[in-house]
Amino acid sequence: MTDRIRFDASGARISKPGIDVNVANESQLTLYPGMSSMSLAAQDTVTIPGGQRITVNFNNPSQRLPYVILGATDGTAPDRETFCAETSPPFNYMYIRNDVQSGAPTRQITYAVLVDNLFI
Amino acid sequence: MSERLFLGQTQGRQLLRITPPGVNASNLTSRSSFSSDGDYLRVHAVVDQQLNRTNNYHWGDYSFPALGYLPMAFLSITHTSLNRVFYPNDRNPATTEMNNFWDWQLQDGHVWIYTTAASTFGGNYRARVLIFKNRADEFIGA
Repeated sequence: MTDRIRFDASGARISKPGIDVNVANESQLTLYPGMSSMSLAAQDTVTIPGGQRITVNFNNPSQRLPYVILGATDGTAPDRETFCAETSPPFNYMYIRNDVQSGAPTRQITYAVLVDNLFI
Repeated sequence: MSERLFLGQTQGRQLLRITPPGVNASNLTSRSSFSSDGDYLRVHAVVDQQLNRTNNYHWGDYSFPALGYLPMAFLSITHTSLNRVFYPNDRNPATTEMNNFWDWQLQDGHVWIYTTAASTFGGNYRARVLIFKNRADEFIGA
């Protein structure tokens, strides 16, 4: 069986399936000492009538600019003129806006808010 | 009390799983905060800069340590006096202060962000690029 988890004095390393952790390089590891990753600050699926927006609050004590990923079940691509997300300092909230398109339909929107826990 | 950390061999493989409060880590059908079977967006470098401005053209040219492959990256742009950030990126005329001509290019070790036409509103723009250790070509079946 391939060794995939290794603990040593520097910390923990975990390799991707099928990769030997003892010889893996950083791109083949899913965890390594000092790793910085994106944390999921918020996620949900919401239904927003056309012409409306909702406010989503999330925990972001570092106040780093988050990154938001959006999707809609009707297949519409997120865009500044269909539906979108908006945030501003201190970056602990966002609007999900279904009010930027004239005559926008009710949309079921799935969102994820990612914040980096930057150690580098 | 739930067992929130599993480390060991199960179903023929070695596994480390960490679960949220109230969820048993050894139950592989439950959600997890971390699983050694998963992959994660691993941050390699972050560019967070006010862009240069020449005759209301805006541009930035930044280096980061090369990885040996094209990394995945996310870009956000905002006007520094407006500070509103949209996803996907904002543009004029949806927001008057924004420019409608943003472009960016990424290669291993370098990123360029620029406008291909002069902005009409003036002022400065801030760009933030999250560059990951994840390969860009892993997500297209290459």
